[in-house]
Amino acid sequence: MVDYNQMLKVLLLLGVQLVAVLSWWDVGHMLTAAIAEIRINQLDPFSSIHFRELVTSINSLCDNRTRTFIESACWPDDLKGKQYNMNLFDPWHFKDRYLLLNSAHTLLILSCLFSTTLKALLAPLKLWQRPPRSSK
Amino acid sequence: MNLLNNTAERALFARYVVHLVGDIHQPLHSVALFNKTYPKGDLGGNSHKVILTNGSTSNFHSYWDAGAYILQNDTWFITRPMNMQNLTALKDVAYSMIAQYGK
Repeated sequence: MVDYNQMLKVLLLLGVQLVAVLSWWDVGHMLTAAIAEIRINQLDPFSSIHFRELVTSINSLCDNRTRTFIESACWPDDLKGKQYNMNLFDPWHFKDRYLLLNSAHTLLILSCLFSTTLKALLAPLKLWQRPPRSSK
Repeated sequence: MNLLNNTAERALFARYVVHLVGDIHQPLHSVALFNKTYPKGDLGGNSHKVILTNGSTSNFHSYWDAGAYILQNDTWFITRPMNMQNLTALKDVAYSMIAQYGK
C-alpha cells in the first residue's frame, strides 16, 4: 500500500523556494475559480465552506502562491512550471479527441438537444401515449 | 466513508478539480478550428497569431489565458499571492460576468 500522504509531502517539500514569477496565464483560471466560488456560495454555503477547507488544508505543503481557493486553481500549472517540473499529472491537463460529424450524427445531436421542445410540440398529438383501454 | 474526513490525497484531487473544471469552461480550451488555413487544427487557438494594441504578438489561446488583458496591461500585472486590490478587481469582473451571462 502506497502512503500517498507521505509521498505528497516528499514531492512537495522538494521545492520551497519562492519566486514572484509573472504568469500571464493565471488570470483565466482565477476568473473561473472566482465565478465558481461566488456561485457555490449562493447555491450551497455548507459545501462551499467544506470545499474551501479541503482545498486549503494542504496549504502547508504548497508555496504561498496558492493559499486561497481562487489561487489554488493555478496550482497544477505551478507544478508543471520550471520551478517544480513535476510531470506526474501531465497527461491530465488535456486530451485531444476528434469528433467527426456526419449528417446522421448531427440529426442525433440535434434531436437530443431539442428533445424537450419536440416533446412539448408533439404533446397535443399524444403519439407515444397508449389509448385508454375500452372497458367492456 | 466519511466525506468530512479531509486527507492530503482528497485535497490534491480537489485542487485538480478546480483546475480541470476551469480548463473545460474557459474559451478555446475544448475546441479547435479545422479549415483550409488549419487543416490539422489550430490547437485551440494556439496557432492563431494575434497582434496586441501595444504591438507585441501573441496567440489567440494565450490571449484568453491572460484574461484578454482586462485585468492586466503593460504596467499592471497580477502576481500571486494576490493583493487586496487585484482580488477585488478580479471578483468585480467575475460578478459582472455572472450578471451578464446569467446561470
